[in-house]
Amino acid sequence: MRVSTSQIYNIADVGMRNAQAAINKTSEQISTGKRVLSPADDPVAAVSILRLNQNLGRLEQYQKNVDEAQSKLDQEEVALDSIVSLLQRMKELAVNAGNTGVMTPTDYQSMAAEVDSRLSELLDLQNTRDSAGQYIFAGYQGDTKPFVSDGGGKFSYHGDEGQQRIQVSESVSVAVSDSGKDLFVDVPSGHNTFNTSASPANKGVPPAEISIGEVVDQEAYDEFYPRDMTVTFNAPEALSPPKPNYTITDDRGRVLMDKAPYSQGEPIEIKGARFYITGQPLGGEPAVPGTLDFGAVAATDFTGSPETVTLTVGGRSETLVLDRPVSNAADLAAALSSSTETTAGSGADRNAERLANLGVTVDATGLSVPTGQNLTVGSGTANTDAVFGFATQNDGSTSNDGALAEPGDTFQVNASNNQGLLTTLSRFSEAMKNVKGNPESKAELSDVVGQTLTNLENSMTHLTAAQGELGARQNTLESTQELLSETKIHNEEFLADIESLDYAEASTRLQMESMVLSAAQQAFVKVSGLSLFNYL
Amino acid sequence: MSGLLSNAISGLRVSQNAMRVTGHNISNANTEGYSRQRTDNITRPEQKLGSAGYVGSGAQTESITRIVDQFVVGQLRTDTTNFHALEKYKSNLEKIDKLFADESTGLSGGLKQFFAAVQNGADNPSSSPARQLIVTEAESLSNRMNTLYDRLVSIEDNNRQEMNSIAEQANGLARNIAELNKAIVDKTVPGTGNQPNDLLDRRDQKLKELSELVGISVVNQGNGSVNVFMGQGQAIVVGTDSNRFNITNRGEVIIGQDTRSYNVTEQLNGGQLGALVDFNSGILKTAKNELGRISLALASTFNDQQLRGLDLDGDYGQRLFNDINSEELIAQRVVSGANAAPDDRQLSLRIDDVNQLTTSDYRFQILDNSNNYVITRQSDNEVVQQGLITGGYPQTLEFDGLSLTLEGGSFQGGDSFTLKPTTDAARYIETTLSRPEDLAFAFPIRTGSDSGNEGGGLISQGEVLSKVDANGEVLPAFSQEGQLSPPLIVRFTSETTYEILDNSNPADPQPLEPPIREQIFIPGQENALFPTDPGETRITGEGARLGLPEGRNPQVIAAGGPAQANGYPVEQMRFQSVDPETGATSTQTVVSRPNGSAAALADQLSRVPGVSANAFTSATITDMSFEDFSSPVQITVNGEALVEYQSGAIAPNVPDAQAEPVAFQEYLAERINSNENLQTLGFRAQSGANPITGELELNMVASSGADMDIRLQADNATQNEFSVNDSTDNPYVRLTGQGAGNESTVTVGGRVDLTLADGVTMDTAPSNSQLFGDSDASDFAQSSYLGYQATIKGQPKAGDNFTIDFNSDATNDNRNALAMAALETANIMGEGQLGLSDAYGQLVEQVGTESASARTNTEAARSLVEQTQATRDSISGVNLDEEAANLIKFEQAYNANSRVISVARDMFDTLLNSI
Repeated sequence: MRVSTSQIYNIADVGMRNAQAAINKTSEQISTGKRVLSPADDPVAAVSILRLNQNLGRLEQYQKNVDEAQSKLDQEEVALDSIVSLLQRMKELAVNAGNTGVMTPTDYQSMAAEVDSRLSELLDLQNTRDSAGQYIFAGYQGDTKPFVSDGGGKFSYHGDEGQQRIQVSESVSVAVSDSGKDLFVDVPSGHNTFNTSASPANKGVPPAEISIGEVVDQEAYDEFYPRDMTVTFNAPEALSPPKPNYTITDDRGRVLMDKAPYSQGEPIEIKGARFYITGQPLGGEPAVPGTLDFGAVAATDFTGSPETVTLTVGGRSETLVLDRPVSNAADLAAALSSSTETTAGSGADRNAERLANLGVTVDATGLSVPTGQNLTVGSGTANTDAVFGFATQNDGSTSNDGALAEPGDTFQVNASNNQGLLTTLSRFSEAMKNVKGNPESKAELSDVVGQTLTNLENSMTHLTAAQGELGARQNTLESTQELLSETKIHNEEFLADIESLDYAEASTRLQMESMVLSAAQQAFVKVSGLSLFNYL
Repeated sequence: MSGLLSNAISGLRVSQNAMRVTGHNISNANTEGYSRQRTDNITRPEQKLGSAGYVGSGAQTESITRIVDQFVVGQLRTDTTNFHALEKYKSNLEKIDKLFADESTGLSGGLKQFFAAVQNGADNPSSSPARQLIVTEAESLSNRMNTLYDRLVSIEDNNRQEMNSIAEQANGLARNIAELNKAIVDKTVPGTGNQPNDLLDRRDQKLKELSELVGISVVNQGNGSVNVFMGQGQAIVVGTDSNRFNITNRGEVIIGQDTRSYNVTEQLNGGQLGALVDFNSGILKTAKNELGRISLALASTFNDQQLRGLDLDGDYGQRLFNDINSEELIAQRVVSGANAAPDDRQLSLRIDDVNQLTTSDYRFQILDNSNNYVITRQSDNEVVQQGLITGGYPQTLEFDGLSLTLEGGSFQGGDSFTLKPTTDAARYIETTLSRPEDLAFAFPIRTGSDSGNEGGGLISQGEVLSKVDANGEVLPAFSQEGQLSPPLIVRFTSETTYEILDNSNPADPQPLEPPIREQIFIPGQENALFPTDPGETRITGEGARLGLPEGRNPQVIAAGGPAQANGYPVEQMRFQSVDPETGATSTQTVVSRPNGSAAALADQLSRVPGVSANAFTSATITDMSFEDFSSPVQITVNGEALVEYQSGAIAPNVPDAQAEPVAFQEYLAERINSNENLQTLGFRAQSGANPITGELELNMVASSGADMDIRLQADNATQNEFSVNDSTDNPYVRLTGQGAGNESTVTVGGRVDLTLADGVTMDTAPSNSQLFGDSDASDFAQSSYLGYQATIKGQPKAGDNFTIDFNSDATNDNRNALAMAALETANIMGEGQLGLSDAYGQLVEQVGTESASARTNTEAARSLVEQTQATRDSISGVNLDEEAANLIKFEQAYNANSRVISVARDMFDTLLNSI
């Protein structure tokens, strides 16, 4: 083949250029330690590297999360341990208190003092805060002090049931908090009991309070259980002379105690439960009776030809019969509330009963519904129109002045088979403070001690279970941590495999490439020296 | 002798010419594009030498030709075009592939750090520094997106400038070629056709240089000139004329003179210009769009999550990044084509669902002389939407997760618009939230369970599905700061039924609007409390003929006779449903049966797709009065006798109705609750009292919706009676004793509540339905979507309560933060196929793969062009050794010719001397 002179130079040029480029790349690889310098070197590997780096970043974050979770659980564990040992001491004390035969009221006073001081210690523990100042047993409301004494030995929980979780791996998140309600409030009680609370909508100023209460007759209470009670304050006018009073209903609307006069701090005993209310609860508005006053009564005699009108109150209807002479409003009232027949077979003898069914009262002024519902008189005739002095035919006439009673402040007594830790100790302390020297009082205390022991036992079981749960979570964290480290090592190895440079191979390659370059240079020098002109 | 001399002189001349050519070759050995030349010598015309014939008269140079293989030259041009295209493309790709993959400049590092910060925040939701870090990382992430976008745009701009200078170069070359054409034609020796070799070389060189810039084809014209064409025959040079390239502002390549010009952007066929066009409109655009899509997905999903949450101050969350559908941005996504005046069309493009978003641009066209429009996805030329321009504005067209709104203007046939949903998104993303406290880590709701709950029911922590309804309006539940409107209470009415009430006043919960009543609970499994379908509506059965309406009277029949009919009329219920996928409408009609029970009606209606019906019946027995509580007193519910008898008399365990009314009611409730047949019908009963009058009541509910057939048999000599009502405001009906063997009876019908899936509507004939109420009323079907969800599982008992409240002061709640952190790996793009980093990885891979293949192809093209160059050089290149040999050869010939002259002189001298 013919070779032109410029080709000789070109070939050498290309050869040296390629060799230099190769050396350049290899040395860049060696200096960075990376095999893939740009995605173009190995697009698939480049994406894997991206992904692996992302994974590694995530794994490191998960490891941090595990540490974070661990420290939160540790803190909770410490608090629970302290609470359990406190309960242990309380149990010993309760066993001691059971010796009602030898203990004197003075002994009980001092024991109650210890319980009280432990109680405030327990309160502090239940209000433990973490390093960020968040209450750890308050659920989501970390800034809200969860357990607050309401006075009267009653404690309320102001947190919620939120549970914080931390993501510790792609698929595992671990709960790192427990709500105080689950741990310390919803503790199964050895006996049916109740929780008292004042409705947040109460308007009395200062707000009236309801005491923690106690079951004084377990048998009676068990029979009533699981119904809840509501204490509703009525308008003082419901009694005469007007006086603060309340009505207790159950959660089905049945009245258990109607319009009982209220005196501050006096125990209320109902269905085996005892509690008291203090302060000035606000009464409600009394019902305004719905009234239909008689108009001008035109004298009419219904004897022998009875006629009827229909009274309707709140969907209930009754038919009243007029079967006698009516000459004035008093006659009419008497006829409407009669329990005798003037005209045989008219059925007027049941008028009184029918009015009672509807809760309607009648006098010479007119008809009235004290509950505040409105009433309708209808289905009458021209004659009844004349007698009543208002329209009674067809739809008749309806009162419009009735207004139902507005309830005042309300207090809830909610049945529960749970009893909070603080409540248990508070009731225990309360019972010891109230003990008298007599055997009845001691027997009552003995009951309370028994219940306290059961409840403390339940609490400890409950907390031990919670501790077990904590342990299980810590185990999860540990195994997750292990898994994370392993995955991380695995990922790092994989990353090294595809990204890192094989130095031995690279330096051999560099060696070879340098050799190629120097060979090309030598060849060039040799070839370029060859020219016929040298010999001319 | 003179012949000899003249022969020698001709030889001298030939040798001289040859040496001159050789010298020319030697001196041009390194001239680019030079082809070696050689002399073609021929003998001079012979002379007749008498009868001896002819004697030669020496040599002459016929022509000087260059050694060229035109095929190789053409091949070299093609290879050059190809190589320069690839090399330019490759060098451009190299500018971006490292940019994307590098941890410090690419997006993956930014995403990693941002989400790590979110995780950190989730670990400590109340920690200010952790929150601050998220805001900072969000800023750096959005900045990084802006920077990447800027880099891409600056590469694009540089390329455009380069295109301009390439066009100038090409124009110069074209002019040169045209001039050379002229010179070559002019200088071609008339008669012999001998051409000016060096000019031909120069023209070949210019053609080669032009082929570096753009793909060309060269056509020889025979007279020595060549025409140069490109693409599909657009002329660059014709004879002595040349055309000009122009680059428009939008990067289009135009060729031609003023009036006759063509857009050849798509037909460049390689060369550097072609490579730049390909790069800008290909991978660079893809990269910009993908980057935009990622930034939209990030901003949109993160913002949505923020909006669903509650911040540290207890306020509803705000967007972390700017709104992707702000007034400004939705207008910027539409670019008008060259549309007829006036320039008044206003369009906006909203992004409704980033999950459906593609990386393509779209073309929106109104066909010539018509109202028909077509929207084409440019990546695959698929028509994604077509129809009629109604002329009523605004008109909204939806496709691929986008909605294009024609706001107004003189839209007309022939209009065309380019829609760029993603292109500039990475430029505009911005972190707008600056206060760390504004990060919404908490959910607005929290759930609770009553401490007094007896059963083992567990309510989930709850989650927020959306803060807005299907139309983008804030849902009522979240309409007021600092509260849930309204808070709810879930009350279990039995172990398997519950109702949900407005708990604004915990002392007196009220029904919701629309009510959620008599819901079925399946113990032991997760029961979702609320709808998840934002378009779901509920129709509450409140027709005038339901239950025990006014005008229904008791009936007296022989004991055991047939039940009274419930009086329900025959009505038509027409359902229309729109398929959300296809938009097709289908209609189905259900005709209720005369006197059919609510249970049967519910069964009929539930068969309609998208409809679920919930039936129940309720009744109250009250005002009991038994003057003679003895045989034959019997109360019967749906054929089940409630009062027990023992040997012909009321059994001793039955409490006396008159003396112990409470106990008697409880007895009845117990009898109903323990009756298996009634249980099958879902009956349950509870004894209570009227809250206003204090009257004792026995409340019954049948969750199946079966008719309640209530009967009384009692002596008629005394007053034995009770009232029945359907537990609503309807009047009471009094059943009275009618003597032994007769029953006073009334039947209470049930109610049906309907739940209609998104797109399903119902109307009734007659329109004022006796079963459902007025179907023409605007509130006939009410949205039931609350925007949040909670589930209850386990075994609750009747009377158990669960609450759903506003999550006030939730400094330690990290539920929304966890949801935000989960976005890192969630498949929120590409129809649920791609996560953020997947999409980015895909882009890196695409760029990397293109770059790798460009690299390989460039090397291949390089060696191809080098080979062709070598072939050309081996044919046309100067070999100095060869020339040296020629030089010696021609020198020797010269010497020999000189020798001949010397011989001739000697001969002459000899001749002279001999004289």
